[in-house]
Amino acid sequence: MTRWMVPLLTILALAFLGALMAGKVWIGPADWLADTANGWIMAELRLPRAILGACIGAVLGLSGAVLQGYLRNPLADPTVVGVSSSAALGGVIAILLGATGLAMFGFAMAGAAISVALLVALAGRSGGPLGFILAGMVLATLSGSLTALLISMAPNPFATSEIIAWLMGALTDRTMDDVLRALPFMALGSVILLLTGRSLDALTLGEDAARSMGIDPDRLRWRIALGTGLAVGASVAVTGVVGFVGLIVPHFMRRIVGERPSATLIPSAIGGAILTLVADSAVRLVPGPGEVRLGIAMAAIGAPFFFLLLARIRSTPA
Amino acid sequence: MIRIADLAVDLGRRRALEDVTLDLHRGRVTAILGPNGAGKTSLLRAIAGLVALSAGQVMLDGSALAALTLQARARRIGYLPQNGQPAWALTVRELVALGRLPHRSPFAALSPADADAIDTAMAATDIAHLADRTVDTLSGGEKARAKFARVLAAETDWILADEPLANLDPPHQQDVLRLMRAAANAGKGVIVVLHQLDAAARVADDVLVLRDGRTLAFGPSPTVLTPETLEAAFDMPMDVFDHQGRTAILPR
Repeated sequence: MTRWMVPLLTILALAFLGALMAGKVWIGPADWLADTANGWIMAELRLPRAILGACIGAVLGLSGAVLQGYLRNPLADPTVVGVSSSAALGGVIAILLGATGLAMFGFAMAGAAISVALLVALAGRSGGPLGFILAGMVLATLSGSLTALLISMAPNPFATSEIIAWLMGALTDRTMDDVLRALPFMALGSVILLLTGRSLDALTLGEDAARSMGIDPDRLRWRIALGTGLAVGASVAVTGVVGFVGLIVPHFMRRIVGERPSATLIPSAIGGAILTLVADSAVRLVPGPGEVRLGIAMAAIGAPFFFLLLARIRSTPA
Repeated sequence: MIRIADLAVDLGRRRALEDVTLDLHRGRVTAILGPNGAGKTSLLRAIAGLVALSAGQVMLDGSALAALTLQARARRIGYLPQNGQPAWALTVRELVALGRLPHRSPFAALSPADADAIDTAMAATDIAHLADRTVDTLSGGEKARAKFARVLAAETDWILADEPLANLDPPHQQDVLRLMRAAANAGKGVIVVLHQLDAAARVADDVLVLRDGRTLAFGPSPTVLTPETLEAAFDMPMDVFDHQGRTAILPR
């Protein structure tokens, strides 16, 4: 793993610098601290946006890697366990109630918290990863349908379009306040998720083998639900739902650093940050008024990329 | 010593084990035989602490298994589940290194003692030359040896194996039997669920025959592997032959 850290961190640094410079206005390093319009764009818009992009990418990549390891399935990502959609439901309720800023963040986090509690409670009796993913799918479907219901009941077209735009996920016009709100939750959630690494390694041999090696399945399920809830909940609360990062980044990293789950966690976090920064820079460079929503861009980039990856994996002899 | 007393285990509403009482000793290979659904795997899982006991208890060297922490138990009892295909393509060395998990504190790197145990286990199972191969590229026999090495690397007093011969050709079956024999000769207690009666006759010091969740027979291998006991277990007449010092068991 360590062998790959330097190149990965270098690419991350370049992607971060690129995200600061790229946009409708190109801002070179000379202008960053200047007392000009460009300096203001840098401090008030580009910098918080780049930090937030790196952070949400990192937690999405990390939680994707953890969930794939836990469910022993390369198709898992944070959206399938219901945390994203529950947090999104909280955000939608906030928009309908006219809440903004901190209040909206609170609503989304409350949605994430409820989903974590339900996830653990529903998955509890049946125990293992299978119960976890089934409970997650129930939650995702339920909150998705409630969200659709709320959209259909929105009082005016303006609210509807605001909700839909928010749901698509974007880093546009985020401030340092958003960064400061989300960061503690993301950091705490990430630490909890990183602590699961060894348990995930043990799960490689199945649930019985993992338990016989001293892994407590209840504690592991709690940690994963809580870590995902904090980290992904906070990311959805400030940017809406951004898909695909958690799905494709761990795949890609496994090809580079090997498949041992604990070895993929930190590289997936870095890779997620890189992908999100690059995608968010790309949406700003598309000519024309306005910009493509990040969630849409990610899916548009992610799906063909994933397809290529699959084709390559399938053509490699097993 | 593992002492099992008045053990009962329920799987859902079905009673899988009832009234099982026996003592198992280190330095011996104990084979668990019986027809499908007799409770063999449930017994192995109960000894490994993986199922809730409905009655009775499992004692390890005088203390109840349930009273041990998960980690303490994991340091003393190694468990090789049935058909445990690794979900990810770890390297062989990474797979064997998993055996050291119970000995390591969180985030601690592999200690020299860990590395020694891993090397020793890989040498004993003759997979040292495969160390950097990923497990998805191994043959069935190599994979079986790598999985056995993982349990050996844990340096537990006990090794429990659930049908370790499944899907192996005869030479590779013999490899696994030899590894179990060697582990017992090195002082470990080996408890193995088997379907191959000949293999049991070959490797086991003691044989336990289960039927409908109850003990049908338990004792030194030659006293249990008799036509009468086997017929009672499997509802099928069996012949037991002695061929140049080896036992062959044939259904009639």
